[in-house]
Amino acid sequence: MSRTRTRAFLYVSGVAVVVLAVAGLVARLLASRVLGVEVTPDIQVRLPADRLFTMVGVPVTNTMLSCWLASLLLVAFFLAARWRARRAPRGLQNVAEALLEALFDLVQGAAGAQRSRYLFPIAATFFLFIVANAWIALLPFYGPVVAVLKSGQHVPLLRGAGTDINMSVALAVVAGVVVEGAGMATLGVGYFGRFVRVRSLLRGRFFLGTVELFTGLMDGFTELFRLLSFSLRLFGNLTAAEILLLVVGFLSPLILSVPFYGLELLIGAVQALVFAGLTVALTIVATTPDRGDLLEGV
Amino acid sequence: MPDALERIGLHLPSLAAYLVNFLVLLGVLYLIAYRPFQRMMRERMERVQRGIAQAEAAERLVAEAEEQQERLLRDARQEARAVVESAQRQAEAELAQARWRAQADAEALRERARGHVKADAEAAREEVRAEIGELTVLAAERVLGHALDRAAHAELIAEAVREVLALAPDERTHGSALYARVTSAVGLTSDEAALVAEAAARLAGRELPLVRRVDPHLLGGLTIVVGDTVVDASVQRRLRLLHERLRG
Repeated sequence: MSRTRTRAFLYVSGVAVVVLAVAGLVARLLASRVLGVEVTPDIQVRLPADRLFTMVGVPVTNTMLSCWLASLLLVAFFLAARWRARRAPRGLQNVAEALLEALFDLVQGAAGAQRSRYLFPIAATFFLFIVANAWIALLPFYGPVVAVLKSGQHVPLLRGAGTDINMSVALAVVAGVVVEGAGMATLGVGYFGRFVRVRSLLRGRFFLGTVELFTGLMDGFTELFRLLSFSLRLFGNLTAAEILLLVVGFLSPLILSVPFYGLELLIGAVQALVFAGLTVALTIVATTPDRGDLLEGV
Repeated sequence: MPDALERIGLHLPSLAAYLVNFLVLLGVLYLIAYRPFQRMMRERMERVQRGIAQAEAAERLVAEAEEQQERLLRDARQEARAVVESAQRQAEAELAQARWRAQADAEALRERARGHVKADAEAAREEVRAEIGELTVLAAERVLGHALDRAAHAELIAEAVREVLALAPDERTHGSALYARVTSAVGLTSDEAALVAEAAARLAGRELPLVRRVDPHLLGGLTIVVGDTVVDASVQRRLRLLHERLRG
């Protein structure tokens, strides 16, 4: 990224942070004064999302509503930035192109042209989806706008989807399928050989064979647990970020919360980048053939 | 465990909903953003590569043009060298021809000169021969003038008479002649005069008076003239004959 672009980015982020913080405060005040809604009289942290209603057997939660909103915004953004046959892009197209180009360079730089053909769309969607869901939760109407459930309970109408474990797990499942699928598609049946290491055992080297079998099993478990760590990392970070904002907003209405909005922006972007980057990195590992057993020749 | 998961909010239908949501978003974004973007990137790369290729082609063209120029120069230089060489060769040939012609001319001149020399020599030799003849005759005259004796004279006269007598009869008829002129180197005796008169009568067909004259230039012998018939039995005549024979 060039220096002028970096400066513009920092400038925009700073303005966004202040505006978000002020708007958040105003919204909360408006909600309590005008609508007469008491917003979070005491700090309550609920991990499961609040169910608003059920649609065709699927409970629609406030996080899911937020997720739909974020998705629609993404689609709207790219539709607005629609590519036209222009040599020198401008406006939204320029922004969208710079964003995609940065992501493309990242993926291609790490995975190469061949793998980035299918990795780029997935990694870019991970990044955009996570960052959109994290940032949309900073908008002022998240929290103050409440829904009244049948039980008479007041819950926020919208809640950041990153705080819903279901979204994190869904993303982790996609990432896992992509990583393992790419490994299998590239290496074939041999891909499983790195988890079931029986070569030395078949050669009659009992001790070495046992050790290798064990390490292979451990690698397999690592692969499985990676899904869990993937989802929990995202879920934990975004939930913690929201809770932090909640607490800070409760303690100090305006001045103190400003830097935390900046922190939230950063955390959202970093988590999105980490998730997309890890997916790319794991795919590279999975699609690279083993050079042989580490203990070969001992 | 399921209970604990339930408590942090894990719920399979929701999970599936998120999954579907994500996949739909992925598809939609692929259609409206990634694909056009990738196509655009590819086109841009192609354009850049095309530009590079064009630049390379232009460079190649320039190199080819330079090479061609070089080749043309080389050809021209070669041609010039060939022209110079051929000119040199031609010049040499002409030189050789001129030399040959000069030699031929010189040879011809020499030949002609040699011919002249030969002719001159021949002429000289001729002259010398003539001179020798003359000298010989002169010497002979000188010698004969003193050495011819009477007997020889008589013999010569007799020979002249025999000659006359041997002539054919039709050649002897000179009726119109009034006299016979007899010239002798020395004075004739009466016997000799009688013989000569007989011979003259034989020539004319009748008796003719003799007109006698002495001419020492005849050296020896005599001449008889009757009309237009001349019998020359002089030594002078013989010497003349000798002289002519010597001249070739």
